[in-house]
Amino acid sequence: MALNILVVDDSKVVRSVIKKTLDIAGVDVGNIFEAGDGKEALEILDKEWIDLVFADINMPVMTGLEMVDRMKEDGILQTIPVVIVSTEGSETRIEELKAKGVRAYIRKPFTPETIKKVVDEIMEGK
Amino acid sequence: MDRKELKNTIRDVFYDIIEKSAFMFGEEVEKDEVDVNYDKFARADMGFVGDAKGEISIMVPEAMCPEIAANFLGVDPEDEKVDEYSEDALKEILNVTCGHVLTAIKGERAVFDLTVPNIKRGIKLKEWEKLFRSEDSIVCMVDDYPVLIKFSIKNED
Repeated sequence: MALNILVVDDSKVVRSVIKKTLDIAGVDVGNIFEAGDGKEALEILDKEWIDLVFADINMPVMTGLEMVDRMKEDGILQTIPVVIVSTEGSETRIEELKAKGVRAYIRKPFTPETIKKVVDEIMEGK
Repeated sequence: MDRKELKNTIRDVFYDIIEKSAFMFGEEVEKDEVDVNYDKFARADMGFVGDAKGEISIMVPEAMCPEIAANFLGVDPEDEKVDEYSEDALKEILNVTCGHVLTAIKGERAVFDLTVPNIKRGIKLKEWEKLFRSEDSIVCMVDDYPVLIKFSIKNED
């Protein structure tokens, strides 16, 4: 099944690298949507069918954590798997993210293999 | 961790990040070995708060930014879209370096909130030389480009 994926990061270069990595990893992608912060992401999630979200934590306007909190308040959005892609390596922060319902955490810099493994695990468990 | 160890840790982390992210390679260099033949530089800055607070900056010749971006994107440095991504690429290198430096020096239980990086271009050689002479700056050499990093940290009580 081709996945509609939303990539949320304030860095254009990171969004581009994630898109390229998904391609290299051989993930079956339908449409890819991009957002520069959590608020833009929520607007896209409101309009489009999204199967999987990759999101950074530290972004202007609305952080990835705030975005996840907002998604949890919505009956439909809370079912969409969110993968956090961030530079942070704090185990405490990762535990906090998991408690919020985040499905996986990928630390930058990442490899295509890591992306593929995470996508496969999420889709198999869905 | 004393000052020398801290500088070595930051340099090692930076070399690892720029190699993995942009396929560019760092080499050991002493300050007196660095010859700078550039007149314009770019500097990215960001801060962090949490179990400690501080700032990190990176200054590079402007000519290096398109190369970082091209390597991130896997395209030729002459590609028309590279310029659009140049600032973001330097900011991202700083962002990832900051996260990994904090883990390296404060451990995996420490929690930080990182600010969004800012960038300034068109910096003159005089400002580069001022940072270069500072005892706080860390000099690196990446693919023959000189790079300066400045890091400050203060523990929260």
